[in-house]
Amino acid sequence: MASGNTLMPVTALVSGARAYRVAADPTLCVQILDLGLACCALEVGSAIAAGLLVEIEQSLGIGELATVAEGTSQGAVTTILLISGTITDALAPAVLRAWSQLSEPKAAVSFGACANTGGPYWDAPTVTKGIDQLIPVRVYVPGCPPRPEALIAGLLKVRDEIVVT
Amino acid sequence: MKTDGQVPGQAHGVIALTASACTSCMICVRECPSWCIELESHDVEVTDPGARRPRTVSFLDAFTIDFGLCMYCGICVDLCPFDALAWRPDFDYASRSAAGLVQGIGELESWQQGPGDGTAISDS
Amino acid sequence: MRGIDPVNWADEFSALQAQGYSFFDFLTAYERDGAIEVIARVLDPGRKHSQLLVTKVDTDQKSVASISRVYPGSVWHERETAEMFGINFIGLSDNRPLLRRSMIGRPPLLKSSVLAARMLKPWPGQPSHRKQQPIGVVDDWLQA
Repeated sequence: MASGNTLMPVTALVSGARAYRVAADPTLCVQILDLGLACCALEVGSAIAAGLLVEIEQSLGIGELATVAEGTSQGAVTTILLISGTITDALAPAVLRAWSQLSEPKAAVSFGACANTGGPYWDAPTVTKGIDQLIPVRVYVPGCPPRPEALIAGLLKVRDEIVVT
Repeated sequence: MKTDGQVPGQAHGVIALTASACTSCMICVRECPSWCIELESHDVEVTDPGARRPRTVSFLDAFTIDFGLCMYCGICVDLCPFDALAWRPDFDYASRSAAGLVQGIGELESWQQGPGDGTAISDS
Repeated sequence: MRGIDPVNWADEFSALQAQGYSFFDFLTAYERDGAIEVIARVLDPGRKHSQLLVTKVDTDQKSVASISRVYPGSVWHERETAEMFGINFIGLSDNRPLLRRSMIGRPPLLKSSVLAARMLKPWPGQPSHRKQQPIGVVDDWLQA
């Protein structure tokens, strides 16, 4: 099993974000801030409720994540921005701002049809047709919405890619 | 809620194709609200043994579903007169590119062989 | 559903609130037979009763009275209805668009507004041997 990257969806800059371990790969840690753009965001909560993501003690928090990362062969903490939901043109600047505030190394995961291409709103005049028009996307997770299991599969794919590259 | 990592067999994870059942009638393509299905076919004449005249059948050249665009509404599955499309529970097909979510006959058929029970979700 | 004369639209809601209909549910609009109608619902939580009111928007002025002074919660709904249908709510203090980046161009939810994305993308269902168009796609959209 490829090991050792600490993945942190969204941002350490924002208070209220919580860190989780991926149950399928305990060496994989993620930090999630629920941007809540649309219904896909519920699937993150669903993944937590199903035990696919296990919350790391708040007291350990970011410091422990960094320690975990330093103890691995990869060393770097890759931060993940998880974009789940419809990106309206009105909200697009906020997503761009969240992305620009993340420190390198970072990776963006597009979760669900709306973030991937616009999805059901592909013909709407007020919806951005895919978040990849604004920021580079590392992994696209299909679904409307994707299952919580698909979120985990997507996170593992990001890890595999970072190990490969 | 399931916690053993297994998704229900009737989950709407992906739409699978049985190419041999498809008659290229285009109903799924035209009814898709997302315009995410594309189909190409050509006519071939088949002469059955003992038949007086050859009959014309459609040969399926290409069938793609863009799962980046698909809203998983299942209208195509419901409307297909020949049950060539079916729900499967597979979910692990994330891609490194948006184009990688466009799946052709090969992938769509491989899901058809998958472990799902292919039944519709019922109230249980 | 009760049809209200546009002249009495705001007064009707004042009267309803005085009668105990203190909860504003929603306000939106729709286009029917070439006319735009505004529809809104308010509730009396005590009696568990609701009223659904509808009025025709003046075709030329495209305006109707705002009910935001009676029900402040309707501001968001009226802003949305204004930007999506091009309706002028008289007395609405907040005219900032919610989803559109500007008010330039046709209001998107009018039936006469075409969705450019549907015009520009080739319809995969187009038959080769005859002309057929999907819903919402017109030939002369650039002239529309």
